[in-house]
Amino acid sequence: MPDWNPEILRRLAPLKLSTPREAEIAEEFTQHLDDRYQELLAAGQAEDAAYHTSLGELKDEDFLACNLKRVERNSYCEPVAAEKDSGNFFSSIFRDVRYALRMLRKSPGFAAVAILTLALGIGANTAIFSVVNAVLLRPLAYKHSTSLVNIWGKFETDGIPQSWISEPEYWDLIDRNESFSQIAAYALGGNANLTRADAGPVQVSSAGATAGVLPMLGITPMLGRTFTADEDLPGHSHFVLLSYALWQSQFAADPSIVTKSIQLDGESYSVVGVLPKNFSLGGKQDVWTSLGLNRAKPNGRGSHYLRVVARLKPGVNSAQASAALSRFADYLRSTYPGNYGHGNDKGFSMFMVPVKEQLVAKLRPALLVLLGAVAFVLLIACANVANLLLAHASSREKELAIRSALGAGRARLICQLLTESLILALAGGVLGLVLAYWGVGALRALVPANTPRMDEVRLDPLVLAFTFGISMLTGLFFGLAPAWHIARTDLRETLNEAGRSTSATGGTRRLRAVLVVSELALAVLLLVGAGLLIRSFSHLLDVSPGFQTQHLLTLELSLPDKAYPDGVPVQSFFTQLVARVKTVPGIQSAGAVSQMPLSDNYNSGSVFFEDTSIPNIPRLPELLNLPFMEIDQRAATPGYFSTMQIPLVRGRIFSDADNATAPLVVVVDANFAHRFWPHGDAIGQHVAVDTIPTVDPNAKPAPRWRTIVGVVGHVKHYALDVEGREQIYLPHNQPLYGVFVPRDMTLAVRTSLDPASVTNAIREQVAALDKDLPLYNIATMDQLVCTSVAQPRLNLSLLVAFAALALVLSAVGVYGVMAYAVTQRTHEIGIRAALGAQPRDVMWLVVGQGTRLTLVGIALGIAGALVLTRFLRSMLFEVEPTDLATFVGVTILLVLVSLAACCIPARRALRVDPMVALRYE
Amino acid sequence: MDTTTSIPAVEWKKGSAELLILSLIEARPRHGYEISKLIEQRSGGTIRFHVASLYPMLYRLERRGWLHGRWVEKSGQRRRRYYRVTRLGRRVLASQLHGWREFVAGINRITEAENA
Repeated sequence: MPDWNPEILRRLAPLKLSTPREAEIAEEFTQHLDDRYQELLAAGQAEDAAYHTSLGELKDEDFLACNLKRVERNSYCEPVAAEKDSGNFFSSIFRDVRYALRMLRKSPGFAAVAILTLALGIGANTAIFSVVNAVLLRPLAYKHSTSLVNIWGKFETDGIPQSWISEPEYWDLIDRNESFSQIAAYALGGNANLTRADAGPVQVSSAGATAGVLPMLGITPMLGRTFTADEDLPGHSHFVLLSYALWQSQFAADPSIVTKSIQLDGESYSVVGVLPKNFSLGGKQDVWTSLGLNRAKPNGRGSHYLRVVARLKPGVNSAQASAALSRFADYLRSTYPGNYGHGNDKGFSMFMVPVKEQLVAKLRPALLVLLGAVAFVLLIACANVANLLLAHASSREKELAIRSALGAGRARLICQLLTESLILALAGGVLGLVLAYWGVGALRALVPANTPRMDEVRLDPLVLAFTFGISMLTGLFFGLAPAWHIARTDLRETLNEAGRSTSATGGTRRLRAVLVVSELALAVLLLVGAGLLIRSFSHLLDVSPGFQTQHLLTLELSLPDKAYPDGVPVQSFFTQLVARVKTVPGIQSAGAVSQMPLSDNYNSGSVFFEDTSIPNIPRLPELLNLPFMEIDQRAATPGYFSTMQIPLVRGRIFSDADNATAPLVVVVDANFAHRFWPHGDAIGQHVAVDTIPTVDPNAKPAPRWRTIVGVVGHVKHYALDVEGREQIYLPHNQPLYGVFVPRDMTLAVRTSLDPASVTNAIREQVAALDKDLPLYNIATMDQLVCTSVAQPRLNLSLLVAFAALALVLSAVGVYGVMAYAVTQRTHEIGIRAALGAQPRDVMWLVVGQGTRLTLVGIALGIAGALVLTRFLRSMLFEVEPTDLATFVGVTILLVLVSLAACCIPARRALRVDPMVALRYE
Repeated sequence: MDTTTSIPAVEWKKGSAELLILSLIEARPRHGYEISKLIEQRSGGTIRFHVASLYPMLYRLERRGWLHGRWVEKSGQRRRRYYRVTRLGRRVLASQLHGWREFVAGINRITEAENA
């Protein structure tokens, strides 16, 4: 084809147009003249004649300039050569930014796709980082929080890895303290009935604290004050602090509440203050009462219920404090062998955990996995945008070549391209912040209610700095692609090819291929992770909890001490209540238990065995000299097992005849029976959970033997993926020590109706017995199961969402590379078709290339997954990190998606007209 | 613009050129060469536009906002600049067509009366 450019440029020269505009006009004229030339040749004219006739289209040199002059005199001139003389750094930057914005405005589609892709990656990273920052990084909002620790006991031999502290241990710790400047204690998990004259009774969650807890933490009530030492004395401790939420919801934010008293469990408490909003020491506490510990008459040494918090002395580090705790544990073991027997630290030891670590340790693995996942998503987004920029840079080669010819150095051009990349990245970062804001709001709504520190999640300055930082890094990272392309391209060659862009160099093709392979490998990592969690969650949901969950309603109630003294009043109430509830229409059965499975409510205690032949379990010579183990203990009414549909394996369950005057009985679970009598029969064996009360305090206690009358199925009490300890059930009507009957019970009601529809009827039955007694924590068992798997479900949902995003981005990346490859190989495809290549050959040319890239990416991804998925182990249930089915499934999915992404370019390749392709150079 | 035998006067062609171009691209976008060929074919060779005439006109119409030019790259082809009529251009076209028809009707009435 003749070179029309010299003639065209000569005619345009008098107009002194800007170089890009001149190039644009020249390109358009060139095409017109080429078409005219082809038309004349096709009509039979000789080449020479066709050339001159076509050239005649331009007329003489003045005619064109004259016609164009009026049109082009106001055309905008690009400041192409300005950078050559730029001596001021900031003016260069400013000029680059203006130019970059102008270039991006000219390609709004490209800019929009790039910004949106980056926004998705940056937004996801910002959202997850804001959670990581709030939960893991930010110090607790306590005074000098890094020196605060929780102190725990450990009875390893008994299977208790973390034990609360008893009152005698607490006082001993204070007396023998070496390492702590302050020690205080609190107790959580209580309930109380709040009654008011002008409103119905409300169950509130209660906690108790010694006077030193809040000052140690640096917590100042927003109204009033904390407890004084005088208000924390035994018998003088009816003082209460209200939570902010309770003050708002039940007391209408009354500013004068501090001068008033409230009724809790029928007793009057003086309100001394209102705590700050969102204050919590783990979980929900509506009211805090002073503990009023009685040092002269402490609870038993084995009654572990206190949580101890302490502050390290200045200059004392964790190792030193831990060593001091070890010495303290040695002292307890040697002084009280009956309680801390076995003579070594396997029997009993003490340790401490930083308060923040105590709060967030369980969340760390999942959060770090999610942070890794979104980092991968961002890398995939970067690779996509890098490919986009490479294609965009190729289409701008002529412009860049002209600028180079006019004096812009290669470094200048690279700087310009990087400026455009950074602007794209910052725009993506701003949009990503908006997406992150919504994302954080959605996360807060989805996380389980008791997830610590979620109320502190926000887009604070550190998060904003993180967003800015990764935006800049992202911009530099993907901006290197076009910069590298320009660095390797001979721009002079571009100028010699009038109106045509150069084909991608081999290096650029390889770079694009590397980017796509990397995307695919990262997508494999995410998809394998998501796949493993899906299988794990599926296994979790298949776990039988040991009872039937459908159509089962649970309701908690707590009898106050004052109105219901220990013993018969408590027994009688629950007996009557269960009988009344059974009469409600639609209710098939009812029962009650002291701790409902999956309700975050636990109780365990020592069980002693009369059968001394049981091997491998410890004894306490100083106490009862009998084998004993720590076992989960429950008190249950007769109808509980049938209501829950816990299967009876052997023997019988409780009946109404199992009362205080009848022989003492227990029911154990199958794990209990199998562990202690694997080859015998548990039925008829004797165990003890308490001793016979004596008047003589010096008399050696005697065990109160109970006969095992039944074996029931094991229940998953803690969580579906936790087997838990062996379980023993006591009849609710056979009190411990002849007196103590659990007063906090959960009703279980099996109904043929919608469980929620019988709630009011049950409430009426409760009110008929006691109008001041509220029901609380009303939930169906299905809801409790759902709540128990809320965290794994959330982890799964997030990882699946990120994996899906990665899959879509990777598919787009594969499509982009293959579409560009088809465009670049059009000439080759045309030649092949002209030489007789079949459609399937052309198809394979495209699909084959795409498949090769995909398989390499998958291979790399699988290799990476085999290494990295072990970090998921703690989040998996009955699935190995190298699960073959998951890896195979992900491979097949990615191959299919990549094939689909290759289809469109492949079909386009099939439509290439050999004549057109051969003309296209 | 070139003239051939029994062709309307240059002034008529100048005024009608914009009308021709707008009406040709009203239905769908076209590139410059296609526009010039269509004008030549549909006028039976009476009207021809060369590069030096056609493109300045296209650029002028584009500056006025009656057209919008866009580079389009199709598979297997070089990129071309396609022109499409804008909303303003459609209004102008409708107005010009109306004016042209009135003008032609007026001429016909006068010449028929003279030759009657």
